Amino acid sequence: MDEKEQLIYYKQTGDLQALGKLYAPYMSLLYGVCFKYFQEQAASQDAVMQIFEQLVHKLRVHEVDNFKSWLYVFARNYCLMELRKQKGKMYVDIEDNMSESEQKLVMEDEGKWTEDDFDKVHECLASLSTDQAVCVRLFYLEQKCYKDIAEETGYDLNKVKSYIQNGKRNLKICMESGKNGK
Amino acid sequence: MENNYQLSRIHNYIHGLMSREEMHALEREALEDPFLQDAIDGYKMQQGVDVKSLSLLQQRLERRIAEHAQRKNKFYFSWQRLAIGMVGAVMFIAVCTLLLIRYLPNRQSANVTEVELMDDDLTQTAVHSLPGGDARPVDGWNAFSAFVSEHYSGVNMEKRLEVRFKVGQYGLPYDIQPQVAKKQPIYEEIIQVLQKGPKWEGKEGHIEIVFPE
Repeated sequence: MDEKEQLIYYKQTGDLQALGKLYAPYMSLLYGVCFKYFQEQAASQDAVMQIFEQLVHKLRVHEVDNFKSWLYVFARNYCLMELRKQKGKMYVDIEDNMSESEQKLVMEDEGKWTEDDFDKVHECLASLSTDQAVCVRLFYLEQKCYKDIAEETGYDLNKVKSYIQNGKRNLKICMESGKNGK
Repeated sequence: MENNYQLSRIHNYIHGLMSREEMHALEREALEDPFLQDAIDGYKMQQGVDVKSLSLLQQRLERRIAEHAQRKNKFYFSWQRLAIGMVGAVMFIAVCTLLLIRYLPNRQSANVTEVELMDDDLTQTAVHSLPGGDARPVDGWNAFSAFVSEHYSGVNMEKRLEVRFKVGQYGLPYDIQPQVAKKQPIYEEIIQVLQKGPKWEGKEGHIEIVFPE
C-alpha cells in the first residue's frame, strides 16, 4: 500500500494501526519542526503526540492528496496556534516562513526552459539586491554550500540562508512576470 | 528507511560530517522542501539529533495506539452492556403494559357488579321471621320490609337486630323487646316503628331485621 491508499484505508476504517504506520516515518522530521518553534524538548515531543491526536479525527474527515506537504502545513499551523496561546514566546520570523510556504506552491510548474529563459535569468539576477544576487549565484551556479558561502562573503550563516531563499523567490517572481508579459 | 536516512543526513550536516557537495545537495533539497528545511533548523537549534529521545517518542506512539485498541474494546463492551440493559428495560415495560391492559378491564367489570349488589340488597332493609315466633305481617314480609326502610332513620350501629314481641287482640304488637341495649337509639326507634306499622297475624313475634350497610 502506498501513502495514498493507506490514507483512504484509514479514512474508511479508522484503524489507528494504519495511521501509526503512516505517521511514524515523519515523526523525526516533525520533531525537528516542532523544536524550531518551541525550542524545548518536552514541549516538542508533546506537540508531536498532539498532532497525531488531531490527525486521528482530521484524517477521517478530510481528503488529503499529498500527505507530506499537508502534514507539514498542519504541523506548522499547530505549532503557531500553540505559541499564540502561550503568548510572548514567538521566536518565528514570519517573513522567513512565508517565503518557504510559497515556494512549495510555486515549484510545481517548473516547465521546460528555452534559450530566452536563460537570458532572462541573467536579467533577473541583475535585478536582485547585491546580497541576494551574490548568494544565489554562489549557491546555484557555483554549487557551494551555505558554510562556504558564509566564509567567502563574510555573511552570517542564517543570513546566507535567507538571502538565498528570498533571492530564489524574487527570481521566480521576476521570471513569471516575464512569461506573462510575452 | 527513508526517514532514518534523512535523519542521519541531518545529523551529519549539523555536525559538519558531510562533504561540501553533500551539504550543497541537502541544502538544495531543503530549499525545495520546507518541511525538511524546518526540521534541519529545529535540529540545528537543538544542536544535534537525539536518537534516544526519538525512539522514546516512537514508543510513545506505539503505546498510544495499543491503548486505543484497549479503550475501543472497553467501549465496545460497555456499549454491549448498555444495549442489553436497554432491551431488558423495553421488554419489562412491554410486559407491564400487557399485564395492565389485561388486568384493567377485569377490575372495571368487578366494580360494576359491586354497584349492582348495592342497589339490590344492601340499600334495602330486609325483615324475616326467626324460629320460635308464629307472627307474620298481614300484608306480607316484603311490604313490612319496605315500611321499615321508609320509617327507619338510618342511625344505627347494628347490622342485624333481633326483636321479640307479642301480638294483641287487634293484630297490634305489644311488649316489644329489641334484643339490643336499651340506651342505644335504635331500641326506642324500632319500638315506635313497630307500633306505627302494619298489623300482624299470629301470637308470638320473633323477627330479625337486617339493615343495609
